[in-house]
Amino acid sequence: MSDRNDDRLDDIFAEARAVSPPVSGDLMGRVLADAARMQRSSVWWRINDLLGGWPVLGGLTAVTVAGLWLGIAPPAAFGDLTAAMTGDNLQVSLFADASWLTLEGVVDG
Amino acid sequence: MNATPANVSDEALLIAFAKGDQRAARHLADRLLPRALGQAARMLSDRDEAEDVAQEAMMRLWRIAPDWRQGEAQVSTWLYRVVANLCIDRLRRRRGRVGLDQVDEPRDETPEVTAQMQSQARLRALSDALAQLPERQAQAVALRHLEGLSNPEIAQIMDISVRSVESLTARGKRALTDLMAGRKAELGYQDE
Repeated sequence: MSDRNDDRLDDIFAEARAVSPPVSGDLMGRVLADAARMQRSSVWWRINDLLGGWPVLGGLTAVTVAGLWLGIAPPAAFGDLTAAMTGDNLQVSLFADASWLTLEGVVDG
Repeated sequence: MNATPANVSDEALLIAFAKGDQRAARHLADRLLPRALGQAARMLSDRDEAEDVAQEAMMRLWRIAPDWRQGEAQVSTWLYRVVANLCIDRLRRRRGRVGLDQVDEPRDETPEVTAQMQSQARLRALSDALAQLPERQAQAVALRHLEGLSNPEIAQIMDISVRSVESLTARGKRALTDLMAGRKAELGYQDE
């Protein structure tokens, strides 16, 4: 009886070994989409590593923002100092009728 | 276009993938996804669950690619292990709610359909019985008898000795025989 049960189990194992479902297009699509997503994030991290990681990126960002801010709205002391050193003030208007939004610079007189 | 030279190893493709080669992902998926899906389907006897496991296993492969240590393990061995572990997790959740109620009664009574339903019932019963085994036994039995791997291969996958594999598969098979014998009437076996 036990031998018969063993044989039956072996038959079921053989039946199971024959199971080989085809990969659907949907599954392949999901797997490749995962791969593309991982690859993109991996490339991003490699760039990050090359630049030196988050501390460097954070520093770069802070310097960029500070530079931009100084360009748009330089402190008055900077204006006085540069005018004194180099010459006249020049006013540049971004919009014809927007007198409130002007950039001040200095050009050699 | 998708043909890859047979002499390009899985590992070489994985490294190419990690370096940003998009075609490598397709080649690896063509090679490894059918294997992962088949292994999961044989262990779980459930198409949807098998697809989820195969997708998750491939996801783990993509994730580990940048950190893959060359020459330490074969990609196929690693994948067998991951799929087996994911299936064991699924089987563990299945414990306590196993039964043949998932298998529908055949509506079409033709012999072919009845035989197909009985075959599905047997395979599901096998999977449910695997869920009842201790996890290491279930894993060893599945790799030996469902995947047809040798004991040294299983030892490598499970990171244990060949002797332990022999012991696990022997005890696991005995336990499975008992579990399946208790359900032979449900599975359509006429006994003396």
